[in-house]
This record gives sequence, structure tokens and C-alpha cells, in this order.
Amino acid sequence: MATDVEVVAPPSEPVAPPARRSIDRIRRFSDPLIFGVLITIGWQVIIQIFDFHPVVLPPPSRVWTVLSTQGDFLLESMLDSLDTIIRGFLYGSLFGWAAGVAITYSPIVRRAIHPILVALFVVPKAIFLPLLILWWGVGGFPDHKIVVTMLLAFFPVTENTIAGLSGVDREMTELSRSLGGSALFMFRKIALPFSLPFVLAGLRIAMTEAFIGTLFVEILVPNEGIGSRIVDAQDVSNTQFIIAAIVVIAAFGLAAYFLLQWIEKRLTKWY
Amino acid sequence: MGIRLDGIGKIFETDDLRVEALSGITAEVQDHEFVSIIGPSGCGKSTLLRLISGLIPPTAGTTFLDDVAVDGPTGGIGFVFQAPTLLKWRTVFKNVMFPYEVLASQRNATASKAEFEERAHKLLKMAGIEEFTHAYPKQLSGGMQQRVSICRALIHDPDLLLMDEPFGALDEFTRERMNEELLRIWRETKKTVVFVTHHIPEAVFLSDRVLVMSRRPGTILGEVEIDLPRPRLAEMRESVEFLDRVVETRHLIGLGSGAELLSEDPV
Repeated sequence: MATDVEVVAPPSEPVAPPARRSIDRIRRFSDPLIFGVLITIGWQVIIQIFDFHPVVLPPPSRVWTVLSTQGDFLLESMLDSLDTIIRGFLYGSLFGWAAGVAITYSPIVRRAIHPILVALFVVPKAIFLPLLILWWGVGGFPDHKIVVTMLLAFFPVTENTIAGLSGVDREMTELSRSLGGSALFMFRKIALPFSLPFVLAGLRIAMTEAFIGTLFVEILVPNEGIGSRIVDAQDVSNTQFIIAAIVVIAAFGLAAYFLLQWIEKRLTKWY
Repeated sequence: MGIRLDGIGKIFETDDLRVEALSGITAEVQDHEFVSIIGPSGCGKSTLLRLISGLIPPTAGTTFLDDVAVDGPTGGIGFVFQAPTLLKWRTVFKNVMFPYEVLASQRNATASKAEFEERAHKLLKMAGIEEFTHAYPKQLSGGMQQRVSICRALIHDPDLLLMDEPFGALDEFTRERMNEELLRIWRETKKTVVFVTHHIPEAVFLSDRVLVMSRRPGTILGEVEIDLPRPRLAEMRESVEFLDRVVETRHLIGLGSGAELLSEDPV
């Protein structure tokens, strides 16, 4: 533990000199970009050497053609999926957070509900799909895609909320209580902010899970969204379309992940 | 604020465990007095502090603060914990202001927010950390964090300061510096202080009186009157009178010279 009381330097983060920092910033984008270009070149070279049939592995140029000519269609299908992803993510996280709070603070809920939730957690969520479709049919209410997406987004948030709220130690609680603070005050002013970094990390995982959930269901039960269009393309051996769709999904997944990471950094500078 | 402990006992009971932490504690602390409670680990010192503050109820006896029986936290007490217990999402200033927010939420604040803010600045200056006013706790060393937590305990101008081994995690050099700082702050504010420690020279250096506690169940074995002149400076630690009080306290705890370990027939 650092205990030097003589320290009088103004508080500041250790920072690299400005020139160094801007180079770091550029390299954060340029390095993966260069690597991506190298992979594409390697891909093209492999096709030239081994003479793959375009159905097995189309050249990057064909994928690019799909992206440029059918870009609107891909984007439209992706936005269809994104609608489910975001709604499933929001509802799942909200319920997940509430369940985490209830499990942490209510011994009855903890004993009765938590084991059941953990049991649900270890079951692959797609297993519920036949049941959901049996109950409501495809496109019924609640939408089977949203339910599976919610289930996947639910658990990381629940577990992280529990971990965060349980990390509040006795002395922090006593700090509020010794001054007459109510339990609600303690929750709002201590437990909530204390658990925030944990919850945000849970949300980042939940977002990736939501992508997995929605796309998985779209592929299993083709209907709307980019996952269903991938199945259509598979039916007609349109390999370049499948790869183009994967590129689009990956781009959106990456954007969602970094958006949440950015929010996380903004909200928890103190951490 | 004067404290009177009248036959305090505390038993912790769970399904399969029954621990008698304190038994028959009777003691008094005068207004403006600096009293240390010293004893081996697990003797119930911290429990005693929590009983005085009203955070936990005793199983026997009564605690009186200025002749009023304690039955729950009152808000008129400043508590300094062993760990700084700072809220790391708040700046130093907002940490020091935290008691205001708690008291205001109970409509129990004795002064306006502006007055509290003014006092916060004064306290941070007194503790020598005003330049860190807007820093986050992670940017401070352990010693500085504990100073912030002392400022926080004083912000609502409590009559009583309860300190639970506040310097226990610090190295010896920092601890001595903090002892001197604490005495300076105490001289300026004249609070009643109950200070828990297991460090004998620290207790002797700081206190008007040292209460010595036994192992579990904690009882008060006796007390040592520290009639050394104030203000106390670092050099006092080397005086014969100071060492006499340390030895007296050691004997009361039951720490001898160690010679018995060398004899053929250990006691």
C-alpha cells in the first residue's frame, strides 16, 4: 500500500507526451486495418494458388461486389435484426438488473429463485425455441426472437449486478448508517454507484450475447433479419453473400461493443 | 460529549455459533477527553465502538451519551474506520461532504450546504490536502486517504469522534506523522475522542487515558493515566516518562519482559 504522505505533486494520470499519444491513437485504428488488408490479400493469393471453386471460397472481389451492389438490402436486413437485438438487450438487461438487486437484498429470493436462474443459465437458450414457437407461433407475441435474446442478455447483467452490490463492504454501509441514513439512501448513494462498473461490464457482455441470440434464432427459424437472408443465400449456394453478411454483422457488433466500452469509460473515470 | 458505559455486554449468536464479545464493561469518558482503548486482536474493541455509536445494540447494559441512553445512530458522531472507506466515484471534496447529504436526507443537517462547503475547505486545509480537493481517491496515498476520512468524520462538527484503528494499515513513519497531525486537529477542535488501537506507543502518545482490554470476552483490565504535558511533540516519544507509561501499559496487558521464556520451567 502506498503511504507516502510527503507526496505533493498535483494529482494527475501518468500521460505519454502528446506526439506519442497521437501516434498511439492512430495505430489503434491503423494496425487492425493493415492486418485486415493483409488477410484479404492472403485470401486472394490462396484462391489463385489452389484454384478454389467460387462456391467453396469466393474471392474478396466478389464479396466486395455484393457489398457494393446489395449493400442497401444487407443494411436493411441488418437493421431488422438490430431492432430485435436492441429490444432484447434492453428488456433482458433491465430484468437482469432487477433480478440481481432482488437476489442480493432478499434472502428468500436468493434461496428460492437464484438456483433456478442458474439452472436456466447453463441450459443453451435455443432449447426454448421449440417451446416458444409451440406456444405463440412464429411472429406471435411475445416474439420468440426477443424472448431468446432477452434470456441471453439477462444472465450476465444479473450475475454482475449481484457481484457489484455484494462488493459493498460493511464499513461503507456503516458510514451512511452511523449518520442516520436510511437503507434506500445507502442503496442510492453507495450501492448503486459502487456496482456501476460491474453492471456496465455485464451490459457489454449482454450486448454480444444479444447479437448471438437474435442471429441464432434467425438462422434456426428463418423469417426476418439478416440471419434469415443468410439461410436464403445458403439455399442457392450464394457464398459471397453469406460472407458479405458476416462482414456487415461483425461491423455492427464491433460498433455496439465499442460504443458500450466508450460509455463505460466515460462513466467510470474514477475506477 | 461525555460517555458512560454501564455494564455493557455483547453476545453474537448465529445458528451454530455463540461468541461472547464483551462482558461487564463499565467505564466513563469525560467531555473533551482523548481516551484510547487498547487490547489484543479480537477482544471486542471495534464492537465497543459500534455499540457507542448505536450501530449495534448491546445484549446487556446501557450506553449513555451526555446522560441520554443510546438506541440507534444519532448523527452526532464522527466515525473513522480502519480502512479510509472513501467513495471512490466521488472527489475528495464530495467525499468530505457526504455526511451533509446523509443528514440532509433525514432533514437533520445543522447548517446550510454553503456552511458545510466552507467547513470542508477549512478541514482539507487543516489536514494539508487542500490541493487534492478535486482529486479522486485512487490518486491519493493511503495516508492521505485516511486524512480525507478524518475530515469527513469532522465535517458535521460532531461532539464525539470514534476512531477504529485508523492508522493500522500505515507504515510506522506515516503512523507517527499522522499521530501528530491528529493531535493538532484535536487541539483545534476539542472533540471527545475514543481511539481504538493495538499499538501501545500510539495509545500513550495520543491519550489522556488508556483503557486496557482483555482477550475475549473483552473486559476492562484497568487504565493508565497519561499525565504527560501537552502539546505533545515527536521528541516526547524518546523521554523516560513516555517509556514509563508504555511499560506500565504493557504490564497491564500482561506483556512481560519475555524472560519467562528463557527460564527452565516456563510459567
